[in-house]
Amino acid sequence: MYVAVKGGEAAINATHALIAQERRGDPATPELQTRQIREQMKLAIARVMNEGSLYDEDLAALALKQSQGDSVEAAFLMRAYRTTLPRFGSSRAVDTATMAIRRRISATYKDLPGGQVLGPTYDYTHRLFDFALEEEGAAVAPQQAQEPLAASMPRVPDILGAEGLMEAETAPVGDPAPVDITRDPAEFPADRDMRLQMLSRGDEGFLLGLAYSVQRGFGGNHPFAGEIRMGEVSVLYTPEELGFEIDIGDITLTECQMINQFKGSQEAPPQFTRGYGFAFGHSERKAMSMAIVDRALKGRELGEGDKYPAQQEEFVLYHCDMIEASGFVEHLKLPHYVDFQGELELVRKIRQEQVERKQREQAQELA
Amino acid sequence: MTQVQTITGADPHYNYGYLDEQTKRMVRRALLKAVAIPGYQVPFGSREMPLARGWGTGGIQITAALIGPSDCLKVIDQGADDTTNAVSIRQFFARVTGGRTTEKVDEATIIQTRHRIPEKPLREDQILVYQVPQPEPLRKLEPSEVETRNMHAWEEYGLMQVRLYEDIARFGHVATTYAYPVMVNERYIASPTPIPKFDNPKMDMMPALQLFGAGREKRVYAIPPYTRVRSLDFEDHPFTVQTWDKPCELCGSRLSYLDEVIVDDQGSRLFVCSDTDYCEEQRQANASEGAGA
Amino acid sequence: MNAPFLPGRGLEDPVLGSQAIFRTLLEALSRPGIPLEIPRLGVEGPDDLPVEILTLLVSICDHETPLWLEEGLRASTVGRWLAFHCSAPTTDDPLRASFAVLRGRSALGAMLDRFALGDVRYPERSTTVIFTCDDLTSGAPIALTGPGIVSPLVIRPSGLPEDFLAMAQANHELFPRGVDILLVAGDRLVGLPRSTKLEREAH
Repeated sequence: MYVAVKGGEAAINATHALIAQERRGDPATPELQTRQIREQMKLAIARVMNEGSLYDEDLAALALKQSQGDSVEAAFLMRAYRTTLPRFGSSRAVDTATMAIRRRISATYKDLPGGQVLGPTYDYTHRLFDFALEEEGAAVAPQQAQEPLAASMPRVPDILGAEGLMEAETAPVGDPAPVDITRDPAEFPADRDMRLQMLSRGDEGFLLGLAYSVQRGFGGNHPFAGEIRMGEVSVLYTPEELGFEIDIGDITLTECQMINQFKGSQEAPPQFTRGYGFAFGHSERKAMSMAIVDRALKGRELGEGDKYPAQQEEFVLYHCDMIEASGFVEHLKLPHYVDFQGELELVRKIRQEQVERKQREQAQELA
Repeated sequence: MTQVQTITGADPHYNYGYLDEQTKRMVRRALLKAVAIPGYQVPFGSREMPLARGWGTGGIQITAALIGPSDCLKVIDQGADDTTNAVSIRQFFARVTGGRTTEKVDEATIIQTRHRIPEKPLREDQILVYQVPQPEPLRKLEPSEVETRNMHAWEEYGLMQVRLYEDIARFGHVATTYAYPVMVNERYIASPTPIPKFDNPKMDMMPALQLFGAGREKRVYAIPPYTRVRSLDFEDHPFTVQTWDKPCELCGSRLSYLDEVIVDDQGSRLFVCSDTDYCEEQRQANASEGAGA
Repeated sequence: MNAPFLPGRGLEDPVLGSQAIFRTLLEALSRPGIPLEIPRLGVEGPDDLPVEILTLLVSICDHETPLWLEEGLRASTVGRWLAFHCSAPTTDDPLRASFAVLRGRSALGAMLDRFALGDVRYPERSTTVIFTCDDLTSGAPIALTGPGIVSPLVIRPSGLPEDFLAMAQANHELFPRGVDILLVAGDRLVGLPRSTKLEREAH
């Protein structure tokens, strides 16, 4: 005798306990501390802050611990938490020209004011396992340089801009405040402020794939890495009650400016065009991919067409948010048996109708 | 200085209903415009919620904006109160409001649902909140939001009519069994959400208010009470609903939507009510009739 | 002489109070023509506007909803009261208004077509216009039909501008664009969304 099974509530409670057990792993191993994650997994922290749209290294560390290292799940925790935070104002736009540089490179110049600063990067490591890392070891202290870095590190696109060779970044008419995608729904066609915000919280993997497609010929022209810089900037804010500006802290940022060629038109002389990438923490792959895609999306304004995916605004912007994408893809795990029931019956019905029709046709032929 | 009354039972770490007041006002204003334009999708600043996108965040934001201490909330998924996601959402609201929840549709003032309308006719004092995966009924025909917005603006619905007629040409009838598109107030084509087409007729002139929330797509829409809702069809191929040969195995109803259940390795099947509360009520009615006889 | 600004009181319970008002507003616009009671929620403010209006505004408005008030009221303490209690900015441009308040008796006209009417692609971007009126029972009868109304309903508002019915009818013709109307008479609220058809009923 079939009895309707009830047990959803018990199952949910059990599943929470099972996750807690899996998260802890072997109790004989020392438990992971969020401090350790914050200090020793900075690149994972950066990704979680970017896609979670929240700069908080401690929270990102907790998110990674709670989600067992699943960066999408961790970013989700950040986003949901962000929703609950009260908003009391906006800082001044950060000035990356005054960044305390730790890394700054340009592929378009052999040398430039301020110099090439290699900084911390995996680029020139050999991808060979360092088995010494399996044990705890003494930290390798880098040697202090003889002289400090140059105080002035002008941005490469500004250098080109001074010569008139780089398209200017002009504010829209009236210089309105930028849209805030965390408060208002996206509107299409999307203006650049909306595009940049959506790209900055977009999934690194998705944007990387799109950027790769651009380089391989699916739209776009050859990009050059005009500059990539990483370091700390001050965040400046004027609280209403004080009426003057205060420095509320430093954040680590990565900025990438890609330089692309524009062929010019009847009216406009040829100029370089730019793609802009921006990310919290040390996130070069993200900043570079974002810059390439930003430039590809300018295709509409520059009259380059939208034949390829990276040029298609709705395709790129609707699908780059991993919180939304994973939610919807994974929602397929929810019961769909009512809908499926309908499909099942329909398929059976149509098949039956076809069988009956064939039988009628055959009967007619024999007649 | 007056104190805000503490809601007993609600988690004190969060605002009542989880959403902050400014977000609630934003959602509420969107809903007020939605009821004034039946069937039209109002964009809104959907927030991230602690449950995943695709798992009901739109419905949750609407319920969070609506709910108050005198409400009683029922949450169903595929018609059942006990599916894990329905339990999860109900627990969420119990936690952030300390309010009453129920499995009985009679007791509910707000019913949040995924993909079914309760069998029992709803009352004027009830609000049905639908979870919506894809609010745009034309999306499968036209991927661009810019284009579909224009189609709704100018009532250019030819593409949909053609699509339905293609099915008729190929199969002899419309091959859509759920999320069957409806015309609301004779102006906007809307998605009824992936409810089985069996449920579509319940939407027409319903005494209760129907609200629809798509969190991921960031749209809300509404069908006021007593509003005309017509499933799209053709004069020579009128809209029809599903029927079954057998009644519900548990309560005997021939009127409700039935789920198919496989009971053994040979693939034997039987059919039971999808709406668990309705089925329970029928069984209790049968039992008391039996006792009285 | 400038009188000192007296803040009066906002909602006694901002969270539950605004929720109760929202449900009343939602009901009013979902079931047009049916008078609903506006709950007393402890609001105290300048008497240029009825306390019921202040209660509605403080519940649903905030810094994102510019409010249009009649010229006489813009300079009054009502504007300051609203800025204090819900941060709602006032505007003298009816096209920018999310909400507008007209005192039915003294308003020069219903002026519905001067407010934001929405766009055919975004019809929701229109003003919600609130009228104060004397009562809902002693004026000329207006028959209502449309979504939310189960059978033709009659309302008899008095104390509204002369051109109110004509303007409301013209507004309905713009559907899906158009403003949405709320009538407040004492502690009663009636909703007239743009979807409602209004007709002069013969006595």
